[in-house]
Amino acid sequence: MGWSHKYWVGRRNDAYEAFTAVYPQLADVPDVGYNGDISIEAIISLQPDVVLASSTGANYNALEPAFDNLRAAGIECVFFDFHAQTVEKHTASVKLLGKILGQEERADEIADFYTEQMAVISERLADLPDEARPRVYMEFSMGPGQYGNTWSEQMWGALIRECGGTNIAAGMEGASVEIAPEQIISADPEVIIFTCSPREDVSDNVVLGYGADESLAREHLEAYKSREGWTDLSAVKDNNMGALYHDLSRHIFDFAGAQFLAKQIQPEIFADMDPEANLAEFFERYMPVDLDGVWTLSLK
Amino acid sequence: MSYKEQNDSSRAVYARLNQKKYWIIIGLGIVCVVSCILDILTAAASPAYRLSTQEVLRCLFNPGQASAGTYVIVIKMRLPISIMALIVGFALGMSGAVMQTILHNPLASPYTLGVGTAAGFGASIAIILGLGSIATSALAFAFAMLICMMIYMLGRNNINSGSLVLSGIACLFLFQALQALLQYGASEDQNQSIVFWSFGSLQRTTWMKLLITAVVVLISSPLIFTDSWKYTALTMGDEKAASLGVNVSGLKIKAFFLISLMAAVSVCFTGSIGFVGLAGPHISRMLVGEDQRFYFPVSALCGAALLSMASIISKIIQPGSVFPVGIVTSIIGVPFFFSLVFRSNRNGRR
Repeated sequence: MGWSHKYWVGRRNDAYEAFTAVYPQLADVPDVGYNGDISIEAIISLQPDVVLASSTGANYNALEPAFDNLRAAGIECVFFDFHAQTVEKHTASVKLLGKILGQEERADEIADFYTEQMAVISERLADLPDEARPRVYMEFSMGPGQYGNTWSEQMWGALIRECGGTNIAAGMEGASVEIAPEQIISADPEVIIFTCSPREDVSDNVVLGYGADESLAREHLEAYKSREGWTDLSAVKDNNMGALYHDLSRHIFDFAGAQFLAKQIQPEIFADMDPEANLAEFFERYMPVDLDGVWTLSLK
Repeated sequence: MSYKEQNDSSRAVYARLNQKKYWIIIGLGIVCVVSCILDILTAAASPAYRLSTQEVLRCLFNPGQASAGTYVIVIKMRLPISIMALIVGFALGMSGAVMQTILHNPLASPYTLGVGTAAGFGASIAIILGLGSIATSALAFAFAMLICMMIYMLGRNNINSGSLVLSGIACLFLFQALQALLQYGASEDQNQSIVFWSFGSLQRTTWMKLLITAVVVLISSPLIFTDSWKYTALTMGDEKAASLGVNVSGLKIKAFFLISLMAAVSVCFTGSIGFVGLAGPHISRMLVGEDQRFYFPVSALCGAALLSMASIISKIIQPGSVFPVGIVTSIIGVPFFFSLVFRSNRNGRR
C-alpha cells in the first residue's frame, strides 16, 4: 500500500493527524508522490492491485501517460468523482469503492444516507423564486488581511444556488476566482460564509475541522467585521456571518456542509434541520475516527 | 554664411528641437493624468454591481457626502491603487533608463538584473515562515537591496565594462535557483501564496504603502535629474565623460544606489512587474533620443503611463476580479513593444 504523503501531511494535516491517532501505521505508508511528482516506479514497486485516484485534472493527468505501463504490471487505475458535487457522482463513486473493497452493502447504505440528506435541501427549495434568494458571498479564509478566493459556478459557487442563495460572484470566469474587494462592497451581500481549514502560511485565518478550537475560530471570524468597508454590509450589520470546514465539500459527508449553507441562507425554511447532528450521526455510523473539533460556526 | 549666422541657425534648430521635447513631456504628463482618472473611474466589479461614473465623481469631489461603501471603494481602494500605478511605473521607467545609461546596455532593467526575483525570494521566505504582510514587504525590500549590493560588489572592480550586467544576470540565476529550492520544499498552500505574490499586483496598495513609495521616488528622482548633463556625457563612453571632468565611478555608485532604492521599494509592495522598466527607456529613446535631460523624465513618464493603462486593462479583462497587472504588462506590452522596435528598425533608425 502507498499514498500521496504530501497531500495528507501538507494540505490536509488535521485529517492526517486525526487518522494517524487511530491508525498509527498510516505514518509508515510509503509515499508515491503527489500530482506532478507521482512516481509510477514507486507505485509499481509496491505491487498494488489497483490505484484509486480522484478524477480531477491534476490526478488524472499524472497517471494517464502511465496507463499502459501500469496495466502491463497488472495494475488498474480507478477514478472517483467527488469533485463535481452532484448526488449522482457522489453515490456512484461510493458504490464503486464498495464494489472494489467487497463492501457493497455498506456502500449502498452510505449512498442512500447521502441521497436522503441531500434530498431535504432539493425538495424544500424546489420552487424557491429568485426574489427569495438573498445575496451570498463565500470566501476561503486567509485572514482578514488578505482576500482568499471565492467560487463562481463550481464547488461552493454552485452550492450557493442549490442552497437557496444568489452568488455575488456568479458568472465570473474560472472555478475558483479572485474577487475584486470593491465588488463585495458594491454587491452588499446579505449572507457571508467563510470556508476554513488550517493553513501553514497564515495564522489569523478562521480554522475549523478536526481538533479546531471554537473560541479562537469565533474570534477570527469576528475580526472580519472590521475589514475595510465591511461595517456597513448588510450581512455584517445583521450578523449573518458563518464559517464551515473547507472539507465539508467533495466528501461523502459533505451533505452537512450543504445543509449548514442552506440553513445560513434560508433559516426559516430549514429551522428544524440540524446539520451538525446529521454529521455526528454519519460519523457515529460510518467513520473510523471521532468527529472532534468544531466544523461549523454561525455568529447568529 | 558667416560663422555667427551658422551658429545662430543651429541655435534656432536646437531650441526648436528642445521645444518639441518639452511638448512631448507635457503630452505624456497629460496622458498619465487622463489614464489615472480613467483608472479611478474603471470598476473592477461585474456589471450588476458597478458604481456609476457619477457616483464615483461625486465621491471624489465630495467624499463626506458619499455612502460608506462608495467612500471605501473610491477613496480607500481605487484612489491609492491608481496613484500607485503611476508612481511605481514612474520609478521603474526611471530606474530602467538610468541602468541602461550607466551600464551602456539596452537590456538592463531592474527586472532583467534580478531585482524582482530577489524581492520574490525575500517574500517567499516571509510567506513560508508565516510572518505576515509587513514582514513580507520588508524582506522583499531587503533582498531587492541585497541583490543590488551583490551586483555592485561583484562588478565594482571593473565597473566600466559589462561585468555589472553579467554579475546581475548571475545573481538573477542564483536567486531563481534559491526560489525554486524554497518552492520545492514548501507545501501547496505556501506555494500558492508565493506564486500569487510574485505575479505582481497593485491590489495590496494602501495609503501608507503609497506614501512610502512616493517619498522615496520624490527624493530620489530629483537627485538623478540634477546630474542629467553628467549622464549625457556618459553616453559618449566612460573615458570621454571622465576626460570632461565627470567622476564616473562616483556618479555610477550614486545612481546605482538611488535606482536600487526606487526599484526595491516598488517591487516590495507590488511584486514583480516586469517589462515596464525595459520598455520605458526604449520608447523614450525613440521619442527624445539620448539627451538625458529629456530621456530620463520621458522614460519615467512612459513607465507611469504604461502601468496606469495596464491597471485599467487588468480590471476590464475579467469583470469582478482584478487580473494580476504584472501579467498584463508583459502579455500586452511585449507585442506592442516589439512592433515599436521593428518599425523603428525598418525606418533605418536605431
